[in-house]
Amino acid sequence: MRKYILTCICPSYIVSEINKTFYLRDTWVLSEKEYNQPFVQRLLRMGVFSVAIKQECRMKKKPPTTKIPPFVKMRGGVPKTTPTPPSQQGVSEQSLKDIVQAEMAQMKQQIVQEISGELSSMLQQQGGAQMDMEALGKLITQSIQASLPVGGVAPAQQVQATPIDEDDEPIYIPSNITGSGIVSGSSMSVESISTDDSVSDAASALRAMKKKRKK
Amino acid sequence: MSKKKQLGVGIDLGTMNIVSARQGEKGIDIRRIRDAFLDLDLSAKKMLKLSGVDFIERENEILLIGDAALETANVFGQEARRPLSQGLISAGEIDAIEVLGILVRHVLGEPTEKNEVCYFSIPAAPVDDLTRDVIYHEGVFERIVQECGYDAVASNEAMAIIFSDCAKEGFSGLAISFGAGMCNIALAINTIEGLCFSVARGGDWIDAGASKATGSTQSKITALKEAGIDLLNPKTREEEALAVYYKSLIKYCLKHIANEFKKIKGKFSMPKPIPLVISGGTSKAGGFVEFFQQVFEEQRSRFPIEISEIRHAKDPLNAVALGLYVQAQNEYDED
Repeated sequence: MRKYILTCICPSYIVSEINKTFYLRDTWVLSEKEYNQPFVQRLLRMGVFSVAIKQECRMKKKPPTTKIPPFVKMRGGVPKTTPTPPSQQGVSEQSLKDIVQAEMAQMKQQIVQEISGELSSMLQQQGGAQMDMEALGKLITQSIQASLPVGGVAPAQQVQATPIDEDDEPIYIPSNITGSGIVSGSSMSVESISTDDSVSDAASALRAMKKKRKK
Repeated sequence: MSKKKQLGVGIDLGTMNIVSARQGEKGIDIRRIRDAFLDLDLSAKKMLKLSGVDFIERENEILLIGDAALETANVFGQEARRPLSQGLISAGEIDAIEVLGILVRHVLGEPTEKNEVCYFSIPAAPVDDLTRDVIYHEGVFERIVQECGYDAVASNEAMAIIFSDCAKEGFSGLAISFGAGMCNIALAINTIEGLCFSVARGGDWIDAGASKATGSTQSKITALKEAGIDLLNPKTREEEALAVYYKSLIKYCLKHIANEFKKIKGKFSMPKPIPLVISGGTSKAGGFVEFFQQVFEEQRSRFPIEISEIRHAKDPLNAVALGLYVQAQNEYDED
């Protein structure tokens, strides 16, 4: 069933038919039958009210769905995974500390091994001459860099939340606008002039550009 | 030119005028109608017949449409109604939609062939008023044009100026359409749209502001403006007020262009300076382009786009319709 919501768009107006005064932004809800009354139509034509149409319809109730925040929303078709038991989700601070310490120790050992190997070969090459301190510095830097893990975690990027489609509000566009059967009279004057083809250059330039792009 | 190339229509749906452009026998045929209407009681029918004014008879009233509405409104001491407000149709204005349907049908006429391509203008969403509904506006006009027997294609109003007036620059430029309801702005490089937005201020805003400042009425200010004023040399208080509001509108547009351009700066490369093309009914005021140049020079150092020249469109009132026609005609070009 349609409902017509009339909103007063003039400072004040007395509707004598219903003996009521409407002030700016006052609303008046009418049924289709009431809306089609001649005096209502006349008020609309006079620009006293603006009208909004509301279509009431019964819809099948949707089962309640839990809304997932956009940043964890999965695409359709992704297989469901069994939830991880809560005991496995948390990592204790101590175990994390142990892992880091073990890895650090391993890396240190690797650096020492690499430096000592290179150092001994350098000393052999130079035959006991004084060690070049600059070369030694470079060697240490290279060794440390080589032992560091390649890659790394990318800095966290701000994920823009995509709005969840709240039931998309439909836009009502009336049909049969030009042939609503109300025009029955005379014609109207339309100013008509003929100019020289001032846009032929533009049309040919656009055509040329289109061809060029295709090539 | 093949027969196919004669097809295609462009229609500019403005707050003040509706203008169509299509190929005629001796050049481009431009048809224009004032975007206004007036409803009168049936009792006025006799008088209108005597005066020779064209009208449309509805169930229990008479409808004057176009220029006749404006002219007759003064006789009957009424204000002519405008189907568009600030460049857009307001949702719920059923009367306005019916009138727009009649106006568009009269300006477009019958299609040369079934589903002839018709490009119609739509404004970009205003950046300073997010409540305005561009989608509804586009939907209504798409339906009207389709009901007239055309294949309706929506196209941005300011981009149409690029197509009509920036051919020599390879369709690169910055176009500003100073309309009655709003100002539309587009930046394009080689036909590719880089920036498109509108501001919800235009000629009507100037009139309203100037009338408030001088204690005059808006219709008086509009009449004064349309009679012709020189913005560079205002003589009366009203003209001075108009010049102030014109300047404010230009500054407002330039400020928004700078703001919007900053958002796309890194994504859009501009190899060389581009022209700034001014169009629209509000730009028809005397000395507007020189006045614009003066205001622009004050802002140039802060303006983020390199401008090669500032010029008026060849035909400021019809530039949008012509640009839309160029695009429509292009649809028929053989591959």
